[in-house]
Amino acid sequence: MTKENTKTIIICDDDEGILDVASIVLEEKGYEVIALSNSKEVIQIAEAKNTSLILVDLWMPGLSGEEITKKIKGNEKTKHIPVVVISARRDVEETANKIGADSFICKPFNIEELEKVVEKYVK
Amino acid sequence: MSDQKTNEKDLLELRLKLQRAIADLGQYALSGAKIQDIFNLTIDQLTNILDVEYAKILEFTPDKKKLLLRAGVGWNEDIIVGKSTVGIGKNSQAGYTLQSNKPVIVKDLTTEKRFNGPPLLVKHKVISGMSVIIHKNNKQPFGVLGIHTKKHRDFTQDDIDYLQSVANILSLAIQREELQEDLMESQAAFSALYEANLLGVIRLDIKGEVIRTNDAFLEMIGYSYKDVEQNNVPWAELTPPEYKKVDAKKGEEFMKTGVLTPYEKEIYAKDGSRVPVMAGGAMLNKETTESIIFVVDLSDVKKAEQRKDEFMGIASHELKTPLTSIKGYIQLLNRMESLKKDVKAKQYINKTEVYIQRLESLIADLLSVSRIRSGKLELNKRKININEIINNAIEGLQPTTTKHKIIFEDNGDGVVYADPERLEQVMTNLLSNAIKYSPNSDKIKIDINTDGKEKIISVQDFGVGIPKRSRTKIFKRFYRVHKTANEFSGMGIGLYVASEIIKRHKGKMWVESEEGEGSTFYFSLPVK
Repeated sequence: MTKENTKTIIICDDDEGILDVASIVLEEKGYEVIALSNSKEVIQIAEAKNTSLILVDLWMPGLSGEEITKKIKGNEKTKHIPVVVISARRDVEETANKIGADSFICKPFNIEELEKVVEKYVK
Repeated sequence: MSDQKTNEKDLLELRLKLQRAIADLGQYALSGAKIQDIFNLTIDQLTNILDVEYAKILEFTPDKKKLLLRAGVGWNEDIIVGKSTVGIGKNSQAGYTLQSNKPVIVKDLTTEKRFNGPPLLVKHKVISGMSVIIHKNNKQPFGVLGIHTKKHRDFTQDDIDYLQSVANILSLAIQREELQEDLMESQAAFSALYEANLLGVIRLDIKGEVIRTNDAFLEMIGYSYKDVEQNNVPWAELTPPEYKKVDAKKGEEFMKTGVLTPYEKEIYAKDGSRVPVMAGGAMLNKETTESIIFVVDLSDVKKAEQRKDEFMGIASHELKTPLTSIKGYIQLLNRMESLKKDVKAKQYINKTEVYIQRLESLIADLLSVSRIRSGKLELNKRKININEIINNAIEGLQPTTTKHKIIFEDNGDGVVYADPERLEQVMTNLLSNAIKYSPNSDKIKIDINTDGKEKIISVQDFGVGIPKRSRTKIFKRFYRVHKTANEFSGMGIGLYVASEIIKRHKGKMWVESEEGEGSTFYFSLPVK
């Protein structure tokens, strides 16, 4: 994979462990991973970078995953970017649909699940 | 007029006079007059009508060892009503009257042999007299009514009958007063019940309309007594629509049994908010259906429960995040080429994964409890094969035990309409219990049977079993058969969650058990 067509994935979670594991898994697959623990930076970076996918935790201090998703999907420049929400709640599907997210994964997820959802949206 | 005629006329007049006196006394006794006034009037009347100097009413002292003067006419000043006493038994005419249990006529006290002339009568130079028993009720005597004179008199049967009639009226008046006292006592107790304001009290009349309530109830729903006086409390509309059905059912039970067994409901407060309450009551009179209802405010209890359930929800969410990282790192280790040939490393990783799985189940149960409690346990039902679910659960649990072999003969026919994840949670809980409570056995058996439109799944262990008294309680939240953690540890939520999940699938869960031999847990699931 050449550098020009490296796909960029933003992952935002307030848990460093999840960011670390996700970065290792996805970088091994050849993606460029931007791991953010500060939710306020997501929108700005998504706008600036050619982002292929945003993974965002729903329950975070500061800007919540719900707010981020709404902002991404309400912004002309970023609304095309697929958003996958991460939540510990099993009934996240309803929330994900309501706020305009493309998909969801539930904590505690397997790394296979993470790979699968990323492959689905980043081609 | 001949002497005989004069006598007859006198006698007739006397009879009329006696009858009138009795009628007057009876009326007075029933008018609600105080008992002491009735006593006083009685003895006054007696001395007049029977033309005697002395009359007295004696009452047994509480210890029944003496007779106390309750009313008297004609006696010297040193004889005091409420203080002076006479002896019982053969020590007085009154005592003898009570002892012989019949009216006593004394012709001449100076020659009286049946009893010893009591000092009271002797001192007053009494010669003749008569006395009758005043009954309190059928069994107990109250005391004695007596009249006495210093003259020689031959009292007749008519005289004694008259005296007994008067005593009978007194007896009625005494009983009436006792009833009155009892009534006042119970009314005071009733009022105390309202005024203590420990709980809401509502009294309903024949028509089911509220005739009395208390501060506790009015405060509960934000109304005041002024509202009650001005008819501003919409009694009929206090119940929100969804509770009308339960109310009606409870009302039926109430009319049938006279008891309103406590049940939870909500009522509207003045500001439109809802107050969770527990209501119960009793019918005071089965014929008139007058009743009393007790209401307990459950707001604080509900709030505390809600906080506890919220806390459990948040706690389990918080636990899931680090668990995701742990799971991730273990999976990364599992993928490392350099470790793939290391048998021990592989074994340790697998074991860690098993325990992560166990932790996941525990967290799932904790979260389920809070969801069940808040009514938010959602089911994602679809057509699934239960055999697959069972195999998944076995796959997860078999590695946690080296002693037990989990035996399941997959017959392939296990199509049910259910939430696969929730069902796996049920199987996982039943299997982990089976493992935990059969430390000395080597197998666990799983079976599926079809019974009409239901599949019945059973999980059988050969362990410690469940004592009979605990068998219905084990499905309750936080109930634990073994209270001490040094026997078997646990949170007491696994079976609660499992049975609630099955209930929400319109199925049933039950247990058959023998202490020392093992338990079999069953659950049914509708095929469609």
